[in-house]
Amino acid sequence: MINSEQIVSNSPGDNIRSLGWLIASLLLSIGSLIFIRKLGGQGENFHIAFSLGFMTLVGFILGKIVAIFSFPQLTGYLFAGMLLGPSFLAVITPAELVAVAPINELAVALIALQAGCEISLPMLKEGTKSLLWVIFWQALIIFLGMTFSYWLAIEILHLASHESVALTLCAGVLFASISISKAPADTLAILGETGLKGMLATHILSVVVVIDILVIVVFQIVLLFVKPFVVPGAYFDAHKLVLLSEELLASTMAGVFVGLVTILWFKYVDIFKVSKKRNVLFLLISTFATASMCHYLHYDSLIVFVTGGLLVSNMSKHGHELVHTVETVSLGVMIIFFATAGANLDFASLKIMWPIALVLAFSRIFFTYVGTILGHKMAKDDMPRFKYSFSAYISQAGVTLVLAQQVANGLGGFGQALASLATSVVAINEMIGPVCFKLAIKREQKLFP
Amino acid sequence: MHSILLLLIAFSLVGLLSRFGGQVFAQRVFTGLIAVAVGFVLSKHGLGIIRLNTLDRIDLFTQVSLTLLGLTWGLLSLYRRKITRNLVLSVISGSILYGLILVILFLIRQMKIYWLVDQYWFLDDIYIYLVASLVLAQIFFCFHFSVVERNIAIILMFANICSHIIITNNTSEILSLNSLLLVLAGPLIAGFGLLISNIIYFSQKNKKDKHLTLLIVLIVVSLITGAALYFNVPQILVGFIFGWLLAKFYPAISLIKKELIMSELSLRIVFLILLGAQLKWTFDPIFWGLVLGLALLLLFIISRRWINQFYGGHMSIRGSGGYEIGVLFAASIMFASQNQATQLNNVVLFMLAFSLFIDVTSMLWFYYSKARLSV
Repeated sequence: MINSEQIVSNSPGDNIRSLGWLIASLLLSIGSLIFIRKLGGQGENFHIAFSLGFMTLVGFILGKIVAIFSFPQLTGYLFAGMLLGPSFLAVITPAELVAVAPINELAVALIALQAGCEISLPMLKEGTKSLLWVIFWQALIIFLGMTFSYWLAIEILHLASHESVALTLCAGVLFASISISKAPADTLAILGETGLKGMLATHILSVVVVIDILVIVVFQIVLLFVKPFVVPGAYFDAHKLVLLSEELLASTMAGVFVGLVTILWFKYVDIFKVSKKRNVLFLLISTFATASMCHYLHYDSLIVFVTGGLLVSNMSKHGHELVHTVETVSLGVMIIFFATAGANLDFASLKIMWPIALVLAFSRIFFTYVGTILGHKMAKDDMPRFKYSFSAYISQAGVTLVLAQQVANGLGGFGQALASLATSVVAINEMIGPVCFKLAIKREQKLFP
Repeated sequence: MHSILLLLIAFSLVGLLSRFGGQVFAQRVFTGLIAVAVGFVLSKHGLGIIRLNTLDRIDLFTQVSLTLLGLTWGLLSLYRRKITRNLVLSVISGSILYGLILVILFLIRQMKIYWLVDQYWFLDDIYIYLVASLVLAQIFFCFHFSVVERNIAIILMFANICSHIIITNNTSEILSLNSLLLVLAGPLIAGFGLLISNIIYFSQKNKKDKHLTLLIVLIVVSLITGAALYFNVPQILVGFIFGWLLAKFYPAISLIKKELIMSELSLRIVFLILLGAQLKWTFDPIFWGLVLGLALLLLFIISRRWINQFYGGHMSIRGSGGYEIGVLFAASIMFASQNQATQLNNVVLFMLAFSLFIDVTSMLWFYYSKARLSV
């Protein structure tokens, strides 16, 4: 993960020198890419290793450059993906983005594992009331508010059109359920970069993780209800709800298993005096293997790894060790994850749909703010402390894109249009969210040092 | 997807066997053999668990691992003992012999002495050159003079690679500028990697961050792997040169040297499992590999005393460590050149049989001598 000591915050002279080197390396990288392309001939394609290395390198450099200007490093990674992705320079092709899927699976698993580890149960217990109220009000207000906003944008503002009001409502409800989702990866990255710890960090992370698990359930239920209206011949299949609950239960059990195995490993390392350097290898193999297993058995990897991490950090004394091991490998994986997310953002759709996407993105930010403030008010929290916490819930990334993909795959042309709109909104949220969250934390750290 | 999971389990099994399997399994040759066997058992020729699409899916890891493996060898080569008279002598004699064999093979081909060429019927056309150079690298690597060790094998490996580049492009253009550029492509790509690594290093404020340094090197490894494949240069060579350059000219190498070198075993195991899964097992190359191994052994037994006198030192036919260079190198070419898969498959099988024969014999020899001495 990005550590707070990596933040560039030295004297202006140091910053300028560093910026000079970074720009030189960026120019050298891009220049060499053009040179190699010319040397090798236009017809030949690069191997995925080159594209991946290049994307990571540019992500790394841009991350450092934006950090000098106090922006989150992940914004730099995202920019690298956008720049090199199919929407702009097309150095990374869509096929290559599919090829890096295993690394993204690994990234999601590591993020979830770390998120689980960072959640402290005693601290959570203290703020349970606040957590439940915020989750409840946020989910409810975003769901209702976004359905209304969607209807408003279609029927009143005429920014797009559907065949009937019923279809507009169906699309609105689906879109609203997707809008509830957050981005644990962004949250963790910014928390790591700013070094924010303690009750507020645990609270924000818990809200983000729990909502992302909740959104999977809400979305599947909404999809079950909507499908008969949209797809001819489809019917409401209650059995799918049973399957969903079975999968959730199985995922939790698998998470407990992962947690126990990890605890046993750390004990084994201690008892048999095995070199602790093997922890990294163990982590990589076990995470990748578990992620593969989740994919194969249709388990939700977020639940599996969050449960595993939660168990390790709260039921044993190895939580710190696990976090340290995750941090050793996660920086590289995170750059690839965010750069890939950036490359996956659909700018072609955004170009067409920007008016409605902009309306919906800002509506979502507004409803997130209202939901968060209302939740904290109901929980009678210390309001100044949570004044800017809503900014943590703006970003959207992996889960949202997966859900949008499900809509596109399951609902034909109607679904594809909706998925494009969802990814356009994600693109806006992903550009605004991390920056707002970092600024909010900086302000918070000034007010409550 | 679950085949990747099984592949990982296989990797862990091999790792555990090599760790807890006692003295015999701890030998590199046996770890390698187990890895190849596990790969074979899991492949479509065995249980059919590792499928082609799995190999495609992890192609990225395979190619990057190869560069990393070369990198660890490059790092290792620099921490070996310094060059001495023996090494210089060996390099010169090795190069002359290597050149001679290539010339002879070339003449045989030019003179169309088919009865002799027929001996290599399992190999197609110019792959004889490749086999010849690999065998030579192997032979020199097996003869562990007191100081020769890896360096000589690596120099020969470089010669092999040059021949590979020439072979895979166009034999009629051996002396053209184009082939010269191709020969230089490996060092150029590695040099580019070093340049990028150093520029990023100088842009860092915290120059002692181990994780960051490791990340930078891994990013550059991925980059140069792709570039090597783009220019049809074996990535193991690029990795090796890059490792050597890093050890010499990268200021932060001391921070990550240990981690990189420690990863060699894991990388080798993964790679050998994949190799075992990729191979198509045919009898002829294995048979001829064993025959050549036996011939080498006889040659060694006959000429041992003379060679010892010539070099003024003690020579033993220790194969441990020599096994991986030839096989892995041949295999790396196989992984990189999908269009000549059958011939290269035979080259790998040939090398595998030959190397294994040498390694197992030398190990038995070693234990036998030890037992005799103790008596």
